[in-house]
Amino acid sequence: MNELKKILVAEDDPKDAELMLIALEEFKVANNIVLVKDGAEALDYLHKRGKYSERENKNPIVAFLDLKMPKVDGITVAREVKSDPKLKTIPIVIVTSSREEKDLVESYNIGVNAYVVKPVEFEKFIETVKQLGIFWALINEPPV
Amino acid sequence: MKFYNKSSIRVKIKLIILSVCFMAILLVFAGFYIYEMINSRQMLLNDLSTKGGIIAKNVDAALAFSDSSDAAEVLLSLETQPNIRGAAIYDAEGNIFVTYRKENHKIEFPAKPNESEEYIFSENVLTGFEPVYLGNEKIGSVYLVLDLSEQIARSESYIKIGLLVMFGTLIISFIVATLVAKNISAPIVSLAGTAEKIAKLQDYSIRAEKKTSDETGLLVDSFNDMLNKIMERDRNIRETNINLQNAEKRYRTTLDNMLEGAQIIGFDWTYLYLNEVAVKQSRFPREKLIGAKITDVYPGIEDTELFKYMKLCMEERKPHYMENEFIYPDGSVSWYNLNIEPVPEGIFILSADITEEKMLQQELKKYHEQLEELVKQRTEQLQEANSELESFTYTVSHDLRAPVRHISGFLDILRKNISKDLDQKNERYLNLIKEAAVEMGNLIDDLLTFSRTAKAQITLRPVNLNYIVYEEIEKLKPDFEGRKITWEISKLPEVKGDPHLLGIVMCNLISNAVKFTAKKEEAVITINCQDNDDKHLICVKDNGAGFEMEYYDKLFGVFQRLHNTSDFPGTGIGLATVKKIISKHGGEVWAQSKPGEGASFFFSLPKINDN
Repeated sequence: MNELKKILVAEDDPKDAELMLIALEEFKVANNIVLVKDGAEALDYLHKRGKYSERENKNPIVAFLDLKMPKVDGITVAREVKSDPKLKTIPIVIVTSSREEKDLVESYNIGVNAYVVKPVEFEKFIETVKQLGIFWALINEPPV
Repeated sequence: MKFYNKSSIRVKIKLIILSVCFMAILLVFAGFYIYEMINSRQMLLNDLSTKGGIIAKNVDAALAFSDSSDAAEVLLSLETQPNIRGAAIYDAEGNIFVTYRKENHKIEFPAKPNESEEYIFSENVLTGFEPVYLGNEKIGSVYLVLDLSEQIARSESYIKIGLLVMFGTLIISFIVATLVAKNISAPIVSLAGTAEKIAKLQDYSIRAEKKTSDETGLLVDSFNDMLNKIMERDRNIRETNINLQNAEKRYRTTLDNMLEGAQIIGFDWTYLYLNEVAVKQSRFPREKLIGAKITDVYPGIEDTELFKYMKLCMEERKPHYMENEFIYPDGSVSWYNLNIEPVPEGIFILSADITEEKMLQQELKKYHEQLEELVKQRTEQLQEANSELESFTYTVSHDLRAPVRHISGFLDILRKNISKDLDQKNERYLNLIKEAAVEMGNLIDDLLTFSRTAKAQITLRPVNLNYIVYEEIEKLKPDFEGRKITWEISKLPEVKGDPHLLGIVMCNLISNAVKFTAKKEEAVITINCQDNDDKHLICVKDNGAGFEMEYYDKLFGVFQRLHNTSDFPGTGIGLATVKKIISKHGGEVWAQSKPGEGASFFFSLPKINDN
């Protein structure tokens, strides 16, 4: 396990992105984080297109997708990932400030692995990320 | 016979009586006379025969001995017989033997006796032969001549008497007949006179006078009775006529003055009647219409639908109602409501001009269409605004929450980083900032819930309220950890509602009850239900702080709070949200309280049948 495992974080808000990075730092995985600014960039990364065409072949072990992003939103990215045979094994966690039920229902319909509402309190956010048992499982033993 | 038929009853009666009397007397007299004649003849014959027989007996010897003097002597004895004019005796050979003549009567004796020896009546005499027998041998004949003058004189006097009697009888019967005729005919004549007078004067009030109570009287009675009836009928007819005339006048006046056009068209398609309105509607002068054919007045009308129905009514007597667009010869158009009815003269058409109404209708329709278009536009605009609002709310939820989250997030990191150098004062400031951020977050969440509730479409489903209550209490458990709360929850009904929204209602009411009993050592929260005929009444009661009814009006308003945030934290949106949801379900919310004695919150939900 000497290879660094990549975590894809798609977040358009730089402050949220920073909070996210700080939270993940808590788990000492900061080196492996790839931060993209919108859905289009996320897709470029996943499909190895544009500026990410040179990236190594390994898929990220998990993708945190903000729901509301410029260009392409999180749901669309998730849908594309889950319908692509090469990408669909990547666990998707939708992160959003919205509690709108329809987003939740739609996300689960697509097949995302988790749905996290950004809590107001940072501690709560860290707690939430911790509670994603799936995350730890993936960190240690990604599916083949 | 003609004369008889023409003559009056009186003359007839007279004639009948006279002729009957005359005939009777004539017959009686004739019978009597004939009988007398026959009788006297028979007597004469018998007389002659007897005398002849006697002479024959007396002269048989003289004849037998041809003694003429003796025979003459026998004949002379006839001198005493006044009615014998003469006699002769004939011998066996038939020669005259002896003759006798009375006085100077000239008598021609027949030369030979008549073989038949019969009696013969001639002008004034009766002559006859009587045989003379000696033993059985006929030896001669006796010839006698009987004078009939006396007889004739007698019959003449008979006739005279008869005529006299007849004359007398006729005079008497004439007098009687006149009286009888007068008596019998008078009432009839008077009746006839009355009848004639009535016929002449046409006055049915005249009555015949009743003079007798026989059949004539009966006739008079019947006649008068008949007159009464005629008068009655006459009066009825006159009354009916007057009524009819009045009715006709009334109808005609009604027709004439009606607001609708009225016209009658005959079977030959000519105008028989038009009221003023109809004339006006026709746009022709009356003189041009009456008697003219509609097909001539409006050439080409035969091809219209109107004419089709007129014809149908004319031929099959079928009434028809129609709204008709009538195009005048000059091309202008009017709308009419037409009633086409069959009448004995042809067809009757009632026409109401609805052109103005029609125009208004069309205009109204136009306005209506415009309005509909406007409504459509407005609806679209409204929908647009609504969706804009929705996306706005969504954006607000996303964008307002983000800065709050950031404040809170970075505050936590900051506190972590400087926790070692933090004095108590600065620690408190950090806590206040944190509290404000959390409060702001809650406010935004509550506002979002409220706005989502306002625009939420509710879908009614059977909802188990008990289940919802337990679910919400379960969710709220962290808020009352370590407190002593007695829950008294009755069996609640299954209601029809939106489970998610009703969950919000229960959550708000229960969390309020929990919140406002926070300062009680022992809290009692009661949830029960009372049903009436068409509603479920649900009550959530606590023994908490309560509120003053004075401020009741503010209770269910947005951002309205009756307590200090420091005493009981809250955003003041919860009860507004409850009210919104319950009113969306067709129910009502109210509350009762006294400060320090707790509060009772009630809401009602209509009972909805599955049918």
